[in-house]
Amino acid sequence: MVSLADYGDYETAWCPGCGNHSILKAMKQALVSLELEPYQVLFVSGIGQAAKAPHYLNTNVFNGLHGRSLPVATGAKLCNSELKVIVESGDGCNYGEGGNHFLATIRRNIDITLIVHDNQVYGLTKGQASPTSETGFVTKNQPEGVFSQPFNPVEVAVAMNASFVARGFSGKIDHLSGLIQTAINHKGFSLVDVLQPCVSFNKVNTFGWYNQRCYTLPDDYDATNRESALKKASEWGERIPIGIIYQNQRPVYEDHYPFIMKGPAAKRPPDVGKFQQIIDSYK
Amino acid sequence: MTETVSLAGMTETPIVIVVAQRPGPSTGLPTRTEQGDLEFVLHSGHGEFPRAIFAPGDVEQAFHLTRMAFEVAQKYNTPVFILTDQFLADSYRSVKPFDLDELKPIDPCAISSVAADPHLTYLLTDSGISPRIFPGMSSWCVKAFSSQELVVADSDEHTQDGHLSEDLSVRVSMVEKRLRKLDGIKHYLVNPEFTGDREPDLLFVCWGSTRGSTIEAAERLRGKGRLVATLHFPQVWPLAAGGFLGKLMSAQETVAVESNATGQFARLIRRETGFHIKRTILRYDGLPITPEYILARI
Ligand SMILES: Cc1ncc(C[n+]2csc(CCOP(=O)(O)OP(=O)(O)O)c2C)c(N)n1
Ligand code: SF4
Ligand SMILES: [Mg+2]
Repeated sequence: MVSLADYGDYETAWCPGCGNHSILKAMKQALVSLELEPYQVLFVSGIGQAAKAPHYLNTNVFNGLHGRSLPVATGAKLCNSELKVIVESGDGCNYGEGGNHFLATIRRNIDITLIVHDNQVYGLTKGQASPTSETGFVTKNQPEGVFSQPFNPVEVAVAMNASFVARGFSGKIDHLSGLIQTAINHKGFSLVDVLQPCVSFNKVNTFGWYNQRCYTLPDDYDATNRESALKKASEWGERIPIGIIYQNQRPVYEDHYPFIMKGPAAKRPPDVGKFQQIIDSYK
Repeated sequence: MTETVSLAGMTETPIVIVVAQRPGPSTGLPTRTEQGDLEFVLHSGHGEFPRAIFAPGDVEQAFHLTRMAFEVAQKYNTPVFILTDQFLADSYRSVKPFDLDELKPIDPCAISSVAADPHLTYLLTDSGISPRIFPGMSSWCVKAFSSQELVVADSDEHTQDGHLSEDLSVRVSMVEKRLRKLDGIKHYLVNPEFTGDREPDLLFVCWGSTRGSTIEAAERLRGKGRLVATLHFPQVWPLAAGGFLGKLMSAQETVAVESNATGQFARLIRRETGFHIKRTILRYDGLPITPEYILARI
């Protein structure tokens, strides 16, 4: 039996009151509820406050480069499809520097789970605007306010027919933990964008700001209907829906390639006989 | 490419990268050839970490050096390059069938004699090599391990267990550990190939794909009664002077033959050995070096 203790209890470098603490808690709960042993899971992250999260879990970890968590996770999954691969990183990491990887991963539909700690700011580098910062957001770097229009990851993901799209809020730990569990269990690429207050550098989108606006989707909401999902996904401002926004059963990348399904690449030495055949075919 | 090279250097991930050079800068002449990226590949990626660079001179060398590149990368957990160019990469030629029987399989789990339990991704060792296992498959790599062993890798400076650290003494020991691997890589050196007269009046020095043309130009000069030899480098990094300095010094005159505008390899040899190759025959119009091109400049 897996217990919370198996995933360890570490001192973090996060500010007191930061939403990251709650996301970590929700993640641990989800892993234990799914009865995943630490060695069965690989966490991949980029760079940022969010990207430190895997360091606070006793499991397999690849903490790589800012923006580049999805390519590493993709490679790891294709090399060993038996691993549960989970990516945890920030909004800057995944939607800014890693934006193209985000699109490519949705298109491929690789069976990995992406958890984005979305605090609408670059936390680690002390408060510059991120791709999800709202227009007009004032920072030391953008003293006259952000001019660009914000990126809505949920809306983009639904528009691209991503196979699982959800939004959570760090203030609702149990709800978030449930979303993470469903996302990990979902076959295909799953995105959970998690709204998270950054108490030090985002004084606009605070805990109270999110708490007032976030509402859970009603039980009769049909997440398989893409048309209504697109509408839900674009909802932002006074009311922000949280829950599973959209879900489909698209074919999964790994299933398309038999050599990936045959188990870990490391266990399959090069096929010398096949190679000899190729050489012989030129004789 | 460079961020991946640097990442592999830090996370100690084996990776083999093929760089088929074309004339730059920028898009340059994208369908033509050059050897202009030796210095770039040698220094690509920020930070200091070991690497090896092979430069095959023909199809056979491309085959055997590629295998060796994987062997070195897997053994030393570091990036290894195959530096070729458009000319060789796009060449077709009939070759004798490769003998596959003599090729031993390469073990993907880099297990040195030392291991720690629990596993430490960056275990400090004399050789600098830490054992490498795969997430969820540790017992497959090390029978003594349970399958529950964990693997932690980090692009930040890290402790032996792979977690990020700003402890300055950890930093120093990890820098030194990574650099120690270069001593081992030197055991895998492929010595340059010497052909022609033993004490030549003229010695051509070349690397990579210019091999065939240079050897042929030397042969033609010998046909005219001149004492000529060729020294071809199928590996351009690391360099060990012991393997070739005597040859350079035995010649009356040395000439570097390279497909670039500044004689990058001649400069590298001078930097590493102090030996100054004073003459160069360089081509950088995008076409491969031919024997005629060399002979016209002798
Ligand atoms: C390629 C690259 N660009 C920039 C940086 C500097 N950098 C580190 S973290 C970060 C932004 C972090 O923001 P986010 O991903 O939202 O994570 P948060 O800290 O908010 O959790 C940046 C720009 C970097 N490390 N690498
Ligand atoms: S700076 Fe913001 S995101 Fe980073 S730990 Fe502090 S509150 Fe959290
Ligand atoms: Mg952020």
